[in-house]
Amino acid sequence: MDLSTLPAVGAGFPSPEIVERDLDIHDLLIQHKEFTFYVRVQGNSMVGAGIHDTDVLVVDRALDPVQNSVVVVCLNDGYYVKRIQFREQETLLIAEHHSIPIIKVTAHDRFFVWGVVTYALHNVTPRLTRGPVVHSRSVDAPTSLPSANTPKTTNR
Amino acid sequence: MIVFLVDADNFYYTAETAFDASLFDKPVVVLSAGDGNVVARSPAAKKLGVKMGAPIFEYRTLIAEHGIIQRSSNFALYTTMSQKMVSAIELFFEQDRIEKYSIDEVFINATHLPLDALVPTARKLHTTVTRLTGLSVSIGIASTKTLAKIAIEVAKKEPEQRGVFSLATASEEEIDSLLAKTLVEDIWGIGGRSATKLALRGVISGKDLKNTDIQWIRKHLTVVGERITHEIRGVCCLPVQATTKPKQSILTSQSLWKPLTTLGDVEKAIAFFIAKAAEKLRRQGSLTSMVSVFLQTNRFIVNEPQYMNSISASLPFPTAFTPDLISIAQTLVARIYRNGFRYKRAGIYLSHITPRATVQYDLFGEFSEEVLHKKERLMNAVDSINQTWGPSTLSFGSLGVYKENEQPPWKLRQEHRSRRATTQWSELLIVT
Repeated sequence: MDLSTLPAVGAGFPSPEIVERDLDIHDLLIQHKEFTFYVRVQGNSMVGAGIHDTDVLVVDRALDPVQNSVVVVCLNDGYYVKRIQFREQETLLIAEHHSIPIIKVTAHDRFFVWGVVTYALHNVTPRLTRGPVVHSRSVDAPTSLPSANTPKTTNR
Repeated sequence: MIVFLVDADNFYYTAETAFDASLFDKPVVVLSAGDGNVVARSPAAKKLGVKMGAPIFEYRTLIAEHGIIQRSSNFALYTTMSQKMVSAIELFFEQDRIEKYSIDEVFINATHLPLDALVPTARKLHTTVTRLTGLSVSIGIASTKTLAKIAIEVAKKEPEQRGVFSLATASEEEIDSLLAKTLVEDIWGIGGRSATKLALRGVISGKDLKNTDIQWIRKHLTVVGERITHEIRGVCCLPVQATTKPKQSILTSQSLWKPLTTLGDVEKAIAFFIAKAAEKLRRQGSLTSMVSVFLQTNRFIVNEPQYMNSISASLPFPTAFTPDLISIAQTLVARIYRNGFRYKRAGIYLSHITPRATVQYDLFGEFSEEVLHKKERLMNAVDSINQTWGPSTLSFGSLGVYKENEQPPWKLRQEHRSRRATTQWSELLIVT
């Protein structure tokens, strides 16, 4: 219906226009927009923290890690997601999986905290093909194009 | 005037390391678009003698012997990392004090800071940029841009400076002794030809230049050389300019990895270049009213017939509408195309660029506001889809249609590209 063709109605008082912005998921997930990065999880070493294989993590590099923060660390040549514990003499990287031992960071390691994980984005829709979905675009898919991502995701 | 210069160290390399820790301390080279030449080197690669700008094939043996790692240019990643560097600087300085000079260099007007706060602020900025972005940077501080350029070289070369070097509170003698160690050709803005002219007059070092008669400089090195000379004397001639001007012309050209031999292929290549340039044009909010195209054979193959030509057309009204620009450029290229040549390079050039906001409409006819809006809506839709779903998700028929594994000669070869970890969901950094 084309509203512009409707006749103007003379009313006593114009109803106040209440402008509220629609919810934006970024407001919830992101504190420091410019210093937030996303990474993808491989494996289930942090399953106890609710982080699963193929999940996308929101990583804030402007946050300081505190005791037991879930962090992305750079240890020698690799990137890991683990829970961090600072002890007097050492730093521990703790997985949340019964079969994975605690890593002690030694003075010989090249080590730094890459960023603090604030959210894990987990896709809960049933998948036709199981196995690792390397290419899941559901997170960024604009709502106006919901069907376009489905074949891309499952074909891989 | 107090100027900070923040410059990323070997920017493309340090941007690569931000998402790939295995590159730290390794010999790494980043290659130009199309994987042809070296455009960035890690410190270890510099030590092995890899030269800036050299064709990569010259180092085949060196690469094999020392396990040099090659990376194709990953511009999506470099652009994001450059913006993040600026964002980190904006935590310290107001936007109107920041000049984004190039992808990896930022000038800051820090005149408002007390002198004893300069170095502490720079140190804090230095560690903050690295922590928040993973980029390694150096900072030079001085009373002019040109001196800040000289200061930053010290910050980069001498590890004991830990990435920050200031000339802001240095004495005249200290500055002079540094200038005496600086060759004129290493001074910002002094080109090779100017350096030759200066050498003939016995002007070899920065200190010599500082003491050269300004009249002589103006006469032989023009006003550009005069400004540089004033700047090394500590007189600011190049203020920090916060507003970045939109580009006044856009060139899209590249060498083709397989020569083109038919008009059909040349037209498709031209359409591809136009599509790229027009997207840039729209991103900066501009319109163009002059299109040029050019074609060139490979002049290094002496026994092949040689031909090069270019042609321009000025448009009746400014536009950023890709289909219009493609059809104009294709008409143009058909005029200069000659059969029987193997074309190695092709390109397009957009000039007479004006801001979209100040456009003058025709009241009626082809360049009315209504027509322009309609075309803009279409282009907005195309651009936003390509932004979300990856470049070339939506493309134009005149670019030709190719299967995924087919690569037309105008698509860049990028055999060693790293993940586009900041712009493509499918290429995120993997953590275990």
